[in-house]
Amino acid sequence: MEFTRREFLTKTATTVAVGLAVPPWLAKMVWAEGAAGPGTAAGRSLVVIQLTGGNDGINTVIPYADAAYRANRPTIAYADNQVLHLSDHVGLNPVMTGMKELYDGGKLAIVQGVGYPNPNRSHFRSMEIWQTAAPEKLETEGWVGRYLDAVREGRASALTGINIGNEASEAFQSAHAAVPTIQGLANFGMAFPRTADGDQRSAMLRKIQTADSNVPYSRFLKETAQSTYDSADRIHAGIEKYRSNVVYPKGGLGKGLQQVAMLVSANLGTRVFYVSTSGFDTHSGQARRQPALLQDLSDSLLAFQQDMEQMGAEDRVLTVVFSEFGRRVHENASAGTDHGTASEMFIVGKPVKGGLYGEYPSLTNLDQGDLKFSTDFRSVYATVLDRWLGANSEIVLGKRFEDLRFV
Amino acid sequence: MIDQSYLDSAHLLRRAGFGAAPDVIRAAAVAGLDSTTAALLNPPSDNLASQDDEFISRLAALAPENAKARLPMQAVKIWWMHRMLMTSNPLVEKMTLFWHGHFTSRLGGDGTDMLEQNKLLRYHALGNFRTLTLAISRNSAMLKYLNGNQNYKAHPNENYARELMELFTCGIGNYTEDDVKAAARAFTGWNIRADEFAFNPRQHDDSTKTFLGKTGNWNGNDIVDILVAHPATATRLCTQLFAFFAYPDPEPAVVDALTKTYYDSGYDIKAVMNQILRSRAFYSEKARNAVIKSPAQFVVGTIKMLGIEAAFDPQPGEITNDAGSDAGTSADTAAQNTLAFRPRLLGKGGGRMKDFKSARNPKLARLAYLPVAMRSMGQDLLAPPSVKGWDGGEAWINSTTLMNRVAFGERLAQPRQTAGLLEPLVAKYAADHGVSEAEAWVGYLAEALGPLDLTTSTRDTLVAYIRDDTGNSLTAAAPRVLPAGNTRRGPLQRARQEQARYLGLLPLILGTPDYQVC
Repeated sequence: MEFTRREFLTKTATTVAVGLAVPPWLAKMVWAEGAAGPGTAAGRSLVVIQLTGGNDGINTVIPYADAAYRANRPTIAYADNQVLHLSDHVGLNPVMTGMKELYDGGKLAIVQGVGYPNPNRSHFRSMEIWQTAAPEKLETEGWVGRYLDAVREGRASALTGINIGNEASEAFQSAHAAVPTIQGLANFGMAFPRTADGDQRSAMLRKIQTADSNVPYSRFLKETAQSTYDSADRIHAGIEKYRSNVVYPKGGLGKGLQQVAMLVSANLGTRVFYVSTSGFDTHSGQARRQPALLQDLSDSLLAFQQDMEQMGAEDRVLTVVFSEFGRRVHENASAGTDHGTASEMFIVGKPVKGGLYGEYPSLTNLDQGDLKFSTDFRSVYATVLDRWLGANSEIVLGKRFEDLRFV
Repeated sequence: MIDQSYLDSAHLLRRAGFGAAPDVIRAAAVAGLDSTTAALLNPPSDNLASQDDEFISRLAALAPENAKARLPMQAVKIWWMHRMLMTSNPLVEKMTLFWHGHFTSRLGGDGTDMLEQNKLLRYHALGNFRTLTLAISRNSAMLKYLNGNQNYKAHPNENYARELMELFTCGIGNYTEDDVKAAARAFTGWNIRADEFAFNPRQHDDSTKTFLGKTGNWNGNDIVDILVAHPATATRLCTQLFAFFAYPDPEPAVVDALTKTYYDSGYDIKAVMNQILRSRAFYSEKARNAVIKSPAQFVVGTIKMLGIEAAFDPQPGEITNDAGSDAGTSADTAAQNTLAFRPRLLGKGGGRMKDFKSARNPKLARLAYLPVAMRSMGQDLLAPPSVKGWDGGEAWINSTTLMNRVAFGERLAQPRQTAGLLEPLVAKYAADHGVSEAEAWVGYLAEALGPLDLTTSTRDTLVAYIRDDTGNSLTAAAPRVLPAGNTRRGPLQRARQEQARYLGLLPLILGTPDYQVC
């Protein structure tokens, strides 16, 4: 039996941990990477899906029973009988059959009216607020980064968080460790194309990057390269086992979630995955654009959930979906909607206590034409941190927030 | 010849600029450090000033109609990349980059305000710190970014006041929350009208405030005056400048000498920089290779050290939708050069590059790729990750960025123009040193890109890489410059494969630990 260096370290540590006083960092390592069962926080993963652009929550979870809904949206409102009813007040956009299925199976919690005080209507700033969980001030660290820093204190594993895509997320900004941003799993850790020549040069590069050199920082550079190659080896070896007949939607979100599924199956000790998808800034032609995006989201989530169940990972993966803001109640002159405030968050997974949470904001009692939020987004983060990830949300978020008990 | 004066000049040109090709370094060594330093600090007129407006407006014209009201950020990024590459005043651009990371702002996709801020930072780059701090306090990008435009008498917004102290001047620990509130009140009414700074007296709180122990009817000017004079500001700024240009964590004695100059000169940035660049510490052993290259240094520096700027230098008139000509290459290779860069330019991976997908000029396409490459290495120009700017140092290097540094080398090796520009230099190196073609490629690249003090084992790996493919390359005939034109078979095709092989050295060398520092 062959061990990788890290496996050896982990397994050794597990042995040491029995009956001996272990230094805290070692204990943490065991806690986070040991073969923990699904019943403990250690084996669990969180998938965060970011809908960039500001998703119109009102046409996503539709208050179909409210007369003000159609009054405000003469061209883009849906008829009662089109909406996928969830209650006698709200229902899902007609295209969201996948999420309706999840909802009916008790695997989807919907938190309504999510926002924060003094809402900012700039995409950039509001996204930053969601990613740093700090509406009042400019915070340099992200909420996921602060959580991961607490988890991996004293450890070097780069894979406790993985960002899927091509852009680093501020949610991962942290004081102590960078999180890899992975565009394609097959190419992670490889600078060259997978050709005979490319592979040969990859081997040369590895030799060069992990050799000693004469410059300052040489040890740091060597260790970073070594850790990259270790991670790449673990990923490449881990995903080889992945088999699935689930068909994901062809878009970027489906591809991203399938990569997450592969990494979940590889069991690399990753606590947080982050996937972004964009296009939700529907200032015009919303009736045409938003359904395609919502269907992609809905189908991708269903496919991912099916994949989790197929690989037997449904008890250890929870997915959270958010957007930086919702949109104006009244539609604009271009059959679209402008930047608004509160919207929904979705929490998906078998461990979820499905149903509707929070209060749907009034469509008539508005603040400058916008919804008044009823639930602070940080209480969703807090619930996930405390109840799912086994962390202390007060440390990560700076104070206590309401426990929503959806998981 | 590589002697101490060459090494010193190379060090100076890397730190006070973005590096230079061997012939430029040799010329600087002949001129001497004293005169080279003086020229860096007192640049002649700005060689690009006359074309700035046209360059920008032509880039903006390539954007889709709906994006033309304000300048696309991508246009401003490309313009600045071009400046860093082609300026005759490298220290001014390097300082502008320093200030961009110091007085940070970030405004999403709207480049109009960021361009104005960038010009402001460049104008004051080697000027007076008090003047610069005052100017930035009235800059529209900054007022928008840190909510100065929402700072009213009845509801002071503390954002700018806090960051001005925490990050721009004295630093955390040197003020209280009451000082933040007082400073915010002093800046009330420093708002924006028609996208420009405008003082709004009705929104200004002109009552008495106590700030850092001083009581008076302070306004924003007074706050800036008090802060630039603060000893913690002097120490913090001089430490940051020294760390950026020389080495991290300077000794107290080094910083003390600089703060003395800071005060004696009345906050003159050029005086402080003059002292840093002429200090013994700057040329000490400790300073050599002591800085991890920023992505800007990596991208701009690689092109400049290889001396292949021409491949990235469209004239304003070439910034059009026409394919145009590509100096030094035939039309068909020009098209290929473009293609080598276009997948990124067009693809989703390029991100926000869609505004320039119609850029058919190969030099523009290559230039437009550079900010994308920088972003992949963790430095998204004009979009610092947070108000404290880029952390720099070891934070530049992680599993993703390290590989993307190599990938940039791979991309650089693609266009034949790179080969065309490098081959004569390698041939000369082979002749001068009496070595084989393979050894000359390794030798020349290691010299130009440093000089890098590669270990024997790394050098052997690099030479072995070439030998693997070409069998007896080590004893091959003298290098030759390939004629332009395409062929799919015969000796020329074989030679092209060898050429590609040689250029494959570039990403390998760019991946060495040695090349990550400067």
